[in-house]
Amino acid sequence: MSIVINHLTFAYTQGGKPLDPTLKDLTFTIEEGSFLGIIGHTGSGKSTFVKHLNGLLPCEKGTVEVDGHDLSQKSERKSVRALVGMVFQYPEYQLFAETVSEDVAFGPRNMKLDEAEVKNRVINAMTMVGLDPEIFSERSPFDLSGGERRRAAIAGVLAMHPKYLVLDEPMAGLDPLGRREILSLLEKLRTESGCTIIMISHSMDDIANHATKVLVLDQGSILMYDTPQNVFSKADELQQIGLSVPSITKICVEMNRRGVPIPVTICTEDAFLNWFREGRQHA
Amino acid sequence: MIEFDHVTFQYEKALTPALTNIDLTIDKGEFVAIVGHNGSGKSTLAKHVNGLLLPTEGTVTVCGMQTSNEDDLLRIRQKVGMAFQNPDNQLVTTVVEEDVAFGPENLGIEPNEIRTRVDKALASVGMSDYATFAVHHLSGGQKQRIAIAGILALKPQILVLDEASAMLDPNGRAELLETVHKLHREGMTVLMVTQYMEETTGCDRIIVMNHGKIVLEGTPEEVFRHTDLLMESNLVPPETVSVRDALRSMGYALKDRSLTAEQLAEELCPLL
Repeated sequence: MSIVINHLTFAYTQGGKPLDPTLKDLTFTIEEGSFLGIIGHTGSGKSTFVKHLNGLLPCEKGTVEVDGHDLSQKSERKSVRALVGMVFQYPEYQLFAETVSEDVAFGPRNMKLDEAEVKNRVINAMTMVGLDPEIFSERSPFDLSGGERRRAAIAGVLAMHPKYLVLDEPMAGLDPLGRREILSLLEKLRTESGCTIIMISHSMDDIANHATKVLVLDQGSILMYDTPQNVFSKADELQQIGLSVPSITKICVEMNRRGVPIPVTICTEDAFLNWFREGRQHA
Repeated sequence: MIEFDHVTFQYEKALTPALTNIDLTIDKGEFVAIVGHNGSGKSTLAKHVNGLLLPTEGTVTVCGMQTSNEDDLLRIRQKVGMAFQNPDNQLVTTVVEEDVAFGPENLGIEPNEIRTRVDKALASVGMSDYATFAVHHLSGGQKQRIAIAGILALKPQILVLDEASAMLDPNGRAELLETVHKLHREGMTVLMVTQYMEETTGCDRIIVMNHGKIVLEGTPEEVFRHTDLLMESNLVPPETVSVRDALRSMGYALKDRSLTAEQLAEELCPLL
């Protein structure tokens, strides 16, 4: 199963009149089990696009199908929302309950699951994000640190057992340790539970290290949709639309400039060091 | 220019101090970066420089004046400009030049002088073309540069940035960092609190905070020699530095100053 996007076009309206389209004729497929990184300049349409994945914004032109459910059909939205979990920017601002466990339980309860199952899911979701239920269940979300609050908010989404998890800049504002915790959580979700991850991020290093596919949006259109290796090897093209490349790619580009023919498809530390270990073969 | 003498600070109701026995001297014209994880005390330290927070024990002296002396506080704040994380919280009017003029107007400076200061401040941050623009049409990076122009119009001698780049996209961060470096070259003393280690490679000195204490201090070359200590403080060195260290352990003789992609390639290529 997969998410199939077909000729999706979308324009916001102002005073009843449509503005220039924010998304222009997007067609591509997100494979189940992949880790999709979405990159693009501010205003390129990234956030607008992901809001189409669970029907928060309507499909007016073109279609989005999640596991065969067509989102342009209103009746299908409910089934899709059970499949697609959404984590917005600064999700901790949406915590509202008196205790962490109550907050995490909110989603599953809305799904009308029985109380034993809700409890079970809350414990699992909290454990998954590294908030020990014995310590954190009865605490107020407002007594937690920034990183803990962020993880509590993500636990609330995970407790609904989404098959596809969409995150809009989930590491924004966190310190380096907080960032690492979120990234290893996403990696664990993907490899252990087979959850498909769709993540918007400004950090090219994070995308290079974790994504299996990268979508590059430019002014609402797809500029590239490829592996991180192929996308980041086009450093000049990315720079033209105001994007940078991972640190490792930068080093490779600088080395080529100085006459050392290291492949510019190398974008992670492991691949870089392997090139040295394996005798610096050209391509 | 700035002197912390045995400064300890404890927030009301807190169980432990946020700063413990800090001794720190920052010279005129220095560019100092303060790094540390969330809750390490780095922002608390920065807020002591213009007396937003006052030490529980010890003293902070700025340009010869103590922040604990209430009569000097206004003068200290004229010398120390401070920029914060959220650009939207720092702009008060709707038009760029009005916003920059807001500070000097409040000080009762005469209109001609205000005009000169506003033009000069906007030029310093590279935003002269935007003088009559509506503030809400600007990007986050541009808003932060306007906030800094508003500070410059007050002619401070010290600029303190408290995670001013945290909410910006990579382009906004690069714009802001470039502006700060330019101001530093023109003589400004800069104290920059940040979570992004890669922003610190061009500073004169880096101060690493953990649990309210200074745990490591030195030039970028010195600090990034101690990746183990950085990890212990829950910090992650820039990827270039961890690659450099790995290459060294493979036998490549790279120098401490290989901190950016360009420097590393420069050092590495002749060895291949």
